[in-house]
Amino acid sequence: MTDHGTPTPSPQQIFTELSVALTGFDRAELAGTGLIETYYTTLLRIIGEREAGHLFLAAAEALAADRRNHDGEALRRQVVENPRYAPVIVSLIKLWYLGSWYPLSGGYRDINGSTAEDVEHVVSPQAYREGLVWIAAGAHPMGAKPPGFGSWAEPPSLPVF
Amino acid sequence: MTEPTRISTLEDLKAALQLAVGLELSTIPVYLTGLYSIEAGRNTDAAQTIRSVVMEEMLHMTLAANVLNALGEIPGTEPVEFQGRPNLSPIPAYPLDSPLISGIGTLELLPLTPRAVDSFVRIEHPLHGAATLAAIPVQPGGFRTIGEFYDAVDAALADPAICPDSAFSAVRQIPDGDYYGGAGHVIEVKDRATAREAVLKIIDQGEGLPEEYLHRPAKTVTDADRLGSGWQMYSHYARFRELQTGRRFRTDQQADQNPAGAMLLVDYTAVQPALYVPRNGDVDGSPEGAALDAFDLAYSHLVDGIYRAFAGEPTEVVDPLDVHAERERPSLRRAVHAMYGLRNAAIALMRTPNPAKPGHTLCPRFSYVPPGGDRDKLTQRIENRIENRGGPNR
Repeated sequence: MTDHGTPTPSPQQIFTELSVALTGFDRAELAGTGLIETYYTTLLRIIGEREAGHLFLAAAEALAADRRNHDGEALRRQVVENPRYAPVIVSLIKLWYLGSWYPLSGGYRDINGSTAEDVEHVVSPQAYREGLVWIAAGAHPMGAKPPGFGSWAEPPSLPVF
Repeated sequence: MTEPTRISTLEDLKAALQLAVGLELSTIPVYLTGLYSIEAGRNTDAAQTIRSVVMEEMLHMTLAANVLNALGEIPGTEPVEFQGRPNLSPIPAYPLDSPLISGIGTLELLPLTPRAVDSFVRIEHPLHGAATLAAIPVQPGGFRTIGEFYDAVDAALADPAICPDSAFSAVRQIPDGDYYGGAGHVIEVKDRATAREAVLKIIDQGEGLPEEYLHRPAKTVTDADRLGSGWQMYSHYARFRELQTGRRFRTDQQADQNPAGAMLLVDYTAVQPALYVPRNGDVDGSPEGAALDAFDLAYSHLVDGIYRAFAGEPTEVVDPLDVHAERERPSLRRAVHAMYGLRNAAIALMRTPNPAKPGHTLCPRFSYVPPGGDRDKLTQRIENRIENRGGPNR
């Protein structure tokens, strides 16, 4: 239970809300990529369940405070700019936008050690196709989601959602 | 036996063709919902089958529009009067009970399930699953089957008393080069012969198949029905029967037999559990509601774009990076790009859990919102949503 007696959201819910706050895409848009579960397990695999638990608790408290205050200050101070979580947050944003995991910083590894999984890799073919960068740029992933003959002659446009 | 409805004036023929464009459009979301519900990379044979039929429905819609244009009438989305019945809308809203074809049954948007495939077969069956034509109730000014409807259209096109030779001219024709990726060709209509050829092609590929076709080889292929790769299309009914039974037809079988060829594997568990919920105008402010609205708006723009192409009008596009660029773009090409975009959006919706229906995901509504007050409100909501990206209340 958190301070207001409301039940703690599930770790997957916290991960989704954190991802919404970090990417600027809403939960329907993120669910539409079909990758929430994939990225959740990717994160746990790379930073470990214990550290992920710390991150989610900090994020849940910060997100609750931000909802009360209608801003993003708590998340920024307590999570995004917190030296403990900042490198993970950077990799997580890149993961959503690019579909690839980028290794955590050297400073992070000095403290937490590293894992064999923490190397640069495309998480899956679907992760490449569904990278948010393509939507944000009004473009399409090269070699996937073809936009149709002659589309190269059109200015970029924001997709349907 | 009741005499089928006859089309006896040019005005009624034009109205019938307006409704024919809409009839062809109305099957597309039904099939697309099944197609897009298939998980990525799964059920490839089923996907290929459904996709091949959808491609031909798009061709049929274009053919009907070409015939209508050749008669001097611009295809439109507005309701028409046909056989003295006012306010018949060409644009489908689901679940759809056709105002025109009483035998076809209710068209629903369903993910790929055995029930959905049953409905595909029913739509494409010459008698829509009825044992005899007489078993289908008839409504005044309507038709029992798609076949009866196109027969009436063809009879009217053939009759110089209804449409004299001077009624035909080659205007606003969609050229064959604008249709790619499917079997068959767009016929540019310039006279009575090409108009009837276009209607015959619609029938031949499976829409309104005459009953006697059931006693012909299931894999009858017309020359126009081959892809450049050699892939052969046969009637929609036979293709969907294969899906329904999980077996291919053998080449020596008739369309009314049970397919007895190779297996066609369909895994109904590799399908998103999308659940169609009709648009009711409520705005709950949820991201899921906004995603469904965004799809409807994009679909409405797409339908408008297609009709603009049929009207021979370009689409205005402002390039923010080059304000001096040519603003008038070919409407059909733009519409095809929108179709690809809509496909990605539909797949995304069907992956998104519906918070109000546990165990189900969202289902695109393919709800056309006509230009005017409701469209303006919808547009405003979607624009606000994009502007709010990254805001604190997400």
